[in-house]
Amino acid sequence: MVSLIPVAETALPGSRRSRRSTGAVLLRVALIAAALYLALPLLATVAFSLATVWSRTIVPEGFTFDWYNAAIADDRFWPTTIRTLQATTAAAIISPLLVVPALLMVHLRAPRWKPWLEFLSIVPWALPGVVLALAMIRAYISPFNVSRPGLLILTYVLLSLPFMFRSIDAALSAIDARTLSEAAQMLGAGWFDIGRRVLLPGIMPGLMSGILLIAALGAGEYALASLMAGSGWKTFPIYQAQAQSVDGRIASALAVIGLFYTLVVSLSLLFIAGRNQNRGGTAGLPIAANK
Amino acid sequence: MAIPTELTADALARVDDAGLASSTSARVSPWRTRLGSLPWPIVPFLIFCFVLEIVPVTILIRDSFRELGMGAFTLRNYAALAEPLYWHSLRNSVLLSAGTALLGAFWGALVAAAIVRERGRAQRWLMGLVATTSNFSGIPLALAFIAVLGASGFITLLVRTLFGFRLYPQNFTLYSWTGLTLVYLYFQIPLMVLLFLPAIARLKPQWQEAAAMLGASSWVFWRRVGLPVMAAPFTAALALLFANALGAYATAWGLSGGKLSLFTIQIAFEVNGDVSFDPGKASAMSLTLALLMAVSILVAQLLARRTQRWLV
Repeated sequence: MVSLIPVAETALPGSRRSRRSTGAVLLRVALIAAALYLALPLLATVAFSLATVWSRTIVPEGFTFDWYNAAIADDRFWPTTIRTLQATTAAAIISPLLVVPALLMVHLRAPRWKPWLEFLSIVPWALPGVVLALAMIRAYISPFNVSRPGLLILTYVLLSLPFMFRSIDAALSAIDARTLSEAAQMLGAGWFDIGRRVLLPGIMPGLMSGILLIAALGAGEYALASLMAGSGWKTFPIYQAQAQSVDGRIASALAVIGLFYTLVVSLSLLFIAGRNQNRGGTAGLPIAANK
Repeated sequence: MAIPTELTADALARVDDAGLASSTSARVSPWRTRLGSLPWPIVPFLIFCFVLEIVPVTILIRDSFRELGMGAFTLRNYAALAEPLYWHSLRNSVLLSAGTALLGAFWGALVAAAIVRERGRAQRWLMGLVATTSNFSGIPLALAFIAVLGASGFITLLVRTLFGFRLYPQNFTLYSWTGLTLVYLYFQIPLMVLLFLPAIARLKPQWQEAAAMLGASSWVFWRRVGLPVMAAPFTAALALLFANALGAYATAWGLSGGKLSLFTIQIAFEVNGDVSFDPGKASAMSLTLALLMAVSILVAQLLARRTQRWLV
């Protein structure tokens, strides 16, 4: 990482030094305040989920795992968890199957299609959950009564297009797919070998970060799940919302379970991005989804 | 190679297309040439986008101009946006999004600048915190804030025990616009850091050295070079933060259950309400929201393109 102020720290006269250090102090304060602001609600959720009673004193009166047991023992826990994992897995399989062939073709053969695909892949950013839910209901559910879970999964695929497209596109640009595959061809490699040994390893970081973002999306998506699939096919976030209106401590336990999952996904993303800074490891951000 | 790769790629593609076209259809019509050269691996992607993007959006547009979404042509659905219920919710949404985008952008930019200066383990920890919290939102986020700032939340109890100051119910409540602003900031700040970090990390140290050598103080450097160069990525991020908050639904729903009237919540009411469901009105509201989002995302894209010229 680049240091912002690389100029020799001691060589400057006093007045400039003090001005710079006020800047540094300001940055420091902003950083510490933000770290507290971001960490406190996480820690409070964890503490709340483990506390026996925590409404009169500053620290909880005692600790227990009861809320976790109650959350998992509930009839709704496993069905909703499995549904969320099903929807996530299905979307994580379908999305690359659509995006990877299209982008390979664009990079290797048909670059003039790229602006069109880029435009189509970014449109979902402008369609928030409530809007998409209404559109899908009006277009497919009320006239044709299509399978709601199936349509929900396809809508998750749609939501994944902006970041899946960007991360794989960045990976293909970073390895210069066209030059590499031409070079491989000249060395006598067939298309199968090129795909397996050149292109696949090249897009792997982009593909992995796209899939991880789908995992984060599916675990927290509430608007579409509640408005489109609703009571017939409840997912994990819907169970969370229902639990929250009954008992905050059970809901906290569920939130911590979801948070742990998010933590694993986020740190894996960070790890991939850190290792592949020049290979398109950093994907687009899921704007507005889940918020 | 002397020829730029992009030029070669383009030229090759043209040769490719021409070759394919002349072999399949002997240049009968431009349309058949186009179809003949359609690269088939992109077809599934195009079909998917047609079915899940173009058709649903087209139906929304059609419904928004029909009475109750199915009757005769009308503009009344859009005129309904002027009714106090909808107009207030739209105004609330825009104000909340603009406010949290501005606060989040300034605070987040400072945080990004501070993180860039950190090194090693501290930087990794901070990035881990930012990455995790950027994915923490919706229903559980509302709950987390209730645990901190709710009527018997941690801070509420702390303030009462230490200073004898009662936040609730007169001085503060989480289920208000102030409360919602605090909750929205929680997802705006990490997003700003993630958006702005690449730009500020690429601010070349050489520029600062050059400026210092020419006698510029760090204040002059920032005023003349640093801030002007950062203006485009900052505004781009600001526009995305605005869109991010404008489309948000689950967080506000989880916190107030619809007591705070936001535009997304009104749309959800229309979709959910069995009795009063008016698809025409709901479609007009949805398209208005999508248009606002599209404009801010477009602004962000255009500014991001400008940024790329400076910060390579």
